[in-house]
Amino acid sequence: MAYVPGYKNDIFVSYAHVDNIPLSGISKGWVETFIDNLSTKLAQKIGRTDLFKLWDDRLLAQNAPLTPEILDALKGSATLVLVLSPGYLKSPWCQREKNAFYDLLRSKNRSSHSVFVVHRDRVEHESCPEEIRDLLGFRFWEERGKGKEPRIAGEPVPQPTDLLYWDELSDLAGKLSHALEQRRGSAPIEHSSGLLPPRDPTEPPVKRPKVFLAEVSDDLYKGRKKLLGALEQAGAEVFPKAPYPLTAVEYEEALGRDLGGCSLFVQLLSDLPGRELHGSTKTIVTAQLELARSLNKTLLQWRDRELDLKEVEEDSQRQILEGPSVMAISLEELQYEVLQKAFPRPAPESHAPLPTGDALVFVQSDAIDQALVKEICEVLDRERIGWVVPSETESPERVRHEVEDLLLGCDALMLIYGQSPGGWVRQQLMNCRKLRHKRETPLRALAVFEGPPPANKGELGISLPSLRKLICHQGLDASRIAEFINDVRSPSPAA
Amino acid sequence: MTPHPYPGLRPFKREESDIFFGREQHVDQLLEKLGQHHFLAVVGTSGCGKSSLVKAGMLPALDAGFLAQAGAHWYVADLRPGHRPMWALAESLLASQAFGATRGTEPESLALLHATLRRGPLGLVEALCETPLPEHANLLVLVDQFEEIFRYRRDIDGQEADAFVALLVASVKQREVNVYIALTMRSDFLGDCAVFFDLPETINESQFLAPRLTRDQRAAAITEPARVFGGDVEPGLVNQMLNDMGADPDQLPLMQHALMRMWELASGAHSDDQSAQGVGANGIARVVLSLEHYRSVGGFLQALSSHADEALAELKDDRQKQVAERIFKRLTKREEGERDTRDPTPLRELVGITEASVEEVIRVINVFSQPGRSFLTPYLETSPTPTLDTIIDISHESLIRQWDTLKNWVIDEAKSADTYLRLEETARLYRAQNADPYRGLDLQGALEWRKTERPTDAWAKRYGAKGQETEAFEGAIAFLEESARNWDKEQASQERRRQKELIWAGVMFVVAVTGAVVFFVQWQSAEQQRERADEQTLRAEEHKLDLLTAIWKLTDVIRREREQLKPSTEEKLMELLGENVELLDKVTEQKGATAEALRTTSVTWTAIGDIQLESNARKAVEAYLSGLKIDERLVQKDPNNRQWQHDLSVSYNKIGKVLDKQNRLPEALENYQKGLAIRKRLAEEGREDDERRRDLAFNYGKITEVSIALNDFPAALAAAEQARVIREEHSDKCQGTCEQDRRRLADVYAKIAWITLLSGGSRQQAVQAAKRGWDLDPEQVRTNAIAAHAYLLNDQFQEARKIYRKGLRSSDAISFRHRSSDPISFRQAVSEDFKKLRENRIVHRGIAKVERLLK
Repeated sequence: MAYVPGYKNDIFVSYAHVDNIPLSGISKGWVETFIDNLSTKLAQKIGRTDLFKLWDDRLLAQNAPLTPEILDALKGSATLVLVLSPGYLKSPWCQREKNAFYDLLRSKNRSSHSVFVVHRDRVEHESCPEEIRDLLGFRFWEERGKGKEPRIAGEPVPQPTDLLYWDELSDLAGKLSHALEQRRGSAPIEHSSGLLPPRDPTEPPVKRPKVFLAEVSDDLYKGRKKLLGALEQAGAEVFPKAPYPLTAVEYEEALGRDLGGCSLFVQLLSDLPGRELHGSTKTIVTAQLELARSLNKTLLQWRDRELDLKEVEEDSQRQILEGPSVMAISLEELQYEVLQKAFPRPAPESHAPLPTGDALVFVQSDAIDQALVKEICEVLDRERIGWVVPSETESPERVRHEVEDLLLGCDALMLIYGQSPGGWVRQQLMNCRKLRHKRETPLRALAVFEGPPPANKGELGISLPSLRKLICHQGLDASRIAEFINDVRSPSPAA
Repeated sequence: MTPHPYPGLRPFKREESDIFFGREQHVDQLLEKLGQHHFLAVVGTSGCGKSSLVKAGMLPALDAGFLAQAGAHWYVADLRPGHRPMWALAESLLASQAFGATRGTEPESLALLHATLRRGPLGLVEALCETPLPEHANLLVLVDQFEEIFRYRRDIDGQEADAFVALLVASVKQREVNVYIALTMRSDFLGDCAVFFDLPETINESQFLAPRLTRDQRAAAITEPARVFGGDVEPGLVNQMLNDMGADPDQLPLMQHALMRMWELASGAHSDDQSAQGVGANGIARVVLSLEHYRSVGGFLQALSSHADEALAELKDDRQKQVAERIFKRLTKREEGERDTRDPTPLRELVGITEASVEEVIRVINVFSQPGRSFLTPYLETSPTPTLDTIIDISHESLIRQWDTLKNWVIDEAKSADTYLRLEETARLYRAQNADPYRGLDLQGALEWRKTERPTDAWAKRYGAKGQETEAFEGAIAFLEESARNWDKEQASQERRRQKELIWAGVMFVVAVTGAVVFFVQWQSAEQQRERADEQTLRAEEHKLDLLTAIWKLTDVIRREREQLKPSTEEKLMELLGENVELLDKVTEQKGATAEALRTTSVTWTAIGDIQLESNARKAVEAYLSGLKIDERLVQKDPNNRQWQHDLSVSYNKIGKVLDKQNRLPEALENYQKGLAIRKRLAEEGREDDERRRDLAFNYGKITEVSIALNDFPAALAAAEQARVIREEHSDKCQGTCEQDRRRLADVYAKIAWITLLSGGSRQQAVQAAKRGWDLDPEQVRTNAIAAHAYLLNDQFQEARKIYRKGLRSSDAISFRHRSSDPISFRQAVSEDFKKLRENRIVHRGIAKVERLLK
């Protein structure tokens, strides 16, 4: 009895026998070793060795026709793992096996989520059977540079140091076990959100950020995979979830569907332009980038620091690489940037919202001049002009944020220079100068109110354009403030 | 408020908070900690921006009242421990105005405050109780570059250093007066803090490790200041600069410097052509920095170096340049195994070292410290009247690491200091009768050093052994002069001896020739009248041998002493030799010549060949061939004579060498192989004879080289393998004690790696062999080059680049022997190697990269 109820087997592995012929001096073939390792890993994931059943045809003769026995096993399997290779594509027997399974899927109206493709060797995308072209694949080979045959992970035997082999195997086992559990009805349909549970269970569940991690040219497969792992681990939902069909119309349709909902567009670039779309001059690289740009997504593009742009052959690719948002940093650094952007630090708790009205004066003072501030605000009240003073808070971060927000949001600024030190006034003016260019409109009025005591008020050593000094050394004189109030009322900026 | 949006190399100043961007969050955290603990240690690597963070970030935030609990009224005593920490503290306290008018800055106030501070750890508290701060006011003591205290403690006054730190710690612990302490320190000194009581505990409580700026924060630091000035930075430039910044700690100052240069350039261009760039809101032309400006200033890496070179070129003559060189050398410090650092120095000492007038030194300093440059601080034009005690400093350590000229100066200076230290030590030992005076290479090196460096007493004090400074320099120079006098005497007497020898050889020759003329006649008649022969022949043979010996001596003297001979003398001797060479032929033709005569003749021919080698290869081959014929006759005479066999192999090798030089490779190979055949026999017969085994390895080595040149890699590899076995044997025997054997083994490994690469073999194996060679002889440039090639082809570009760079740096100083015997530079050798690789269709994209590096 299989782990998934109603099936004889949980997993059926379909492969070409040529891929399982042991190399000389080695006792087991690649597929056999692979199945052994996958079984071990799956057992660890599910928790018990006897909990799942893997159809094993090792006892069958090679090149046996699609016997009723095999067909039976196939029919009775919950999932199919397909070991894709040039040999597989050439074997009519394998094709039949695959077709049989697909017929089953269709007849039972089940999704292709039950099929997992293991890319044992490089297979041209075009020569892939259509049904499996766009399925989530696990790539067990890697490029060794132009003109060279790819390296096949785990050949002749998987070494403990062969990271590619074990990473892919473990990913496959993860996805497989999840699929089995789903079929069994013991897991939610959606993937769980990352590894880390929310810190406080009473907190509302964190919204998972949606990140679009663009499809890449073959040479960047590993880099993308690494980034994907980090994002998923952190709890992000990453798109695309499986490769898109390569026909231009279908590709862009699927792309638009996914990209629309994502906040972030991340793209790894190399000197290769990536696969071309059928029926278009675009490649996957340009198609994704163009759409992301037109949707105004936040772009995070990356290229290898060592890549010499002068040596990039394709002009269009070089132009993309020279773009103003392409970061030439290490992958680790990129990962940091992406995670920072995907999971931004929560902003400090914001203060009360600014009052809205015709005009708002930010009356800024040191605590020592509170009395003076009170008087001034009364004048402003009489004149029916809105004002705001900083709230009382201790945290330097909040104090700063508040001052900055008020400086950016107010219409006019009045600094109170009573008993507070000159250095304080000076620094406020500096802050004002520092932030001025971030304002949407210029300040309507800017003034330093020089109140009592008259002593110790030397030159501030700073002046900004249109700064008024309201000298009231003997105490508040409303007439002095009149000009300031005029400026505040006049809709045209003072500067 | 600053007139310029980017400060360049120097740290931000307190009044520049309006252009200080990107560190806002860090400042919040600083205030948080300072408020909580009344203490804060800001640590980080050099160049990470600690000083700027504190001065343009934290201090303005305090002034702005962002630390609400403490209020906005702050006095700041800003100091560096420097050469007198307590004085510096007293001075900065008075300058901060914390004591108001009560304590002026006149010398008496300073002395009084200094005395109070020194009374004990609570000195500062006591001073503030005597003269309290205004209500609600706070005092912040900011000790910038706190790490200076460690050098002070070690080299100058340990007690005062301890007292200074105790005072800081005690001020933190009390809450009677509103004192806060902040310090900045390079993180590599963090461990050293444990030398002071309570300091580690205090730091543990409140420490801030300056974080690296994120990409967004760095982008803000680039664009925002320009915007404050109504300008902007093109997004393409921002990204380019961010991409060009590595993980290097110097990135921030370099970035600031490049921006400053671009801003100068762009705003300078404005005054010429305002219409081109549009006008900003305030009517001032709008400056927008672009990639164009970036390229003009030399990009990220070159901007600083070329800017500093520009300043150097501005100095009007060589004398000023030399003054500048000496100043910069003094201001940098090299420490074993550490990064080069700054070494702030009082003006007084710089005057002493440069041997220039105060005015001259100030003039040079100002060229490097003027606004917009600030390579040195302070700018003596505006600083309060400079005194001889004014401390001059390099504004940022990144200058030491990025200015190529200065880097070379620092290397030269280290060598110079080394030479001096050795001299001083030897002089001391000599006085104690434990060392000989300098002679030969040592002496030449030291004299050359004295001539070019013109060291002074002030300079030497910096490097001399501690406690020995007084008169050590004078003693060293006196010793050097005495050594020179001794050496001259010795040389003169040797010269006399050599001249005597030459004369003797000449006289011998003349005597022999005269004798020979007489006896030659007799000898010939003796030949004719054999019956009378016995006694006569014997005498004739004796004279003949005398004659041959005379010619041999003459030849040998010429060969050995050629370089020393006056050209006219050489010419005469050669003539004399030429006239008598036919006598050698006579001996050779003589059937009954004794073995001894034959051998003397043979070695004479070889010597003649050696003499001719440089000037006339054809004649050299002829001479060697004549020798070879005689060797063959001797071998025929007695095939068991090992010496004669060996002579014959030497002759083959000599001929092989000339042919090799002439690039007649197949013929050269043939001769080396003949030599090899003989040596193989000799080595087999005398297994225990190391010398013979070495000879054999030598021939295998030659065959390897020629086979490589002929692109016959299987043969080359086979020969190299044989050579390796023998060299390994010797290396094992002497267990690494024989330098020569080790070097030769290294060479063999390099060759094996090279052959593997050329023949398209396993690059992994090539790397292994090359690395073995390199480990055995890391100094040999050839093994370096091969190791670099192997790494390169094995896709280990970083490793390769490191070695290439090292090789290139030494390329001017060291030239090394390539396959041919002419020395060539590293650069040449590498490019020849690449040619060879191409010839053999070994291609790799890294080769082009390295070639660019070579350019």
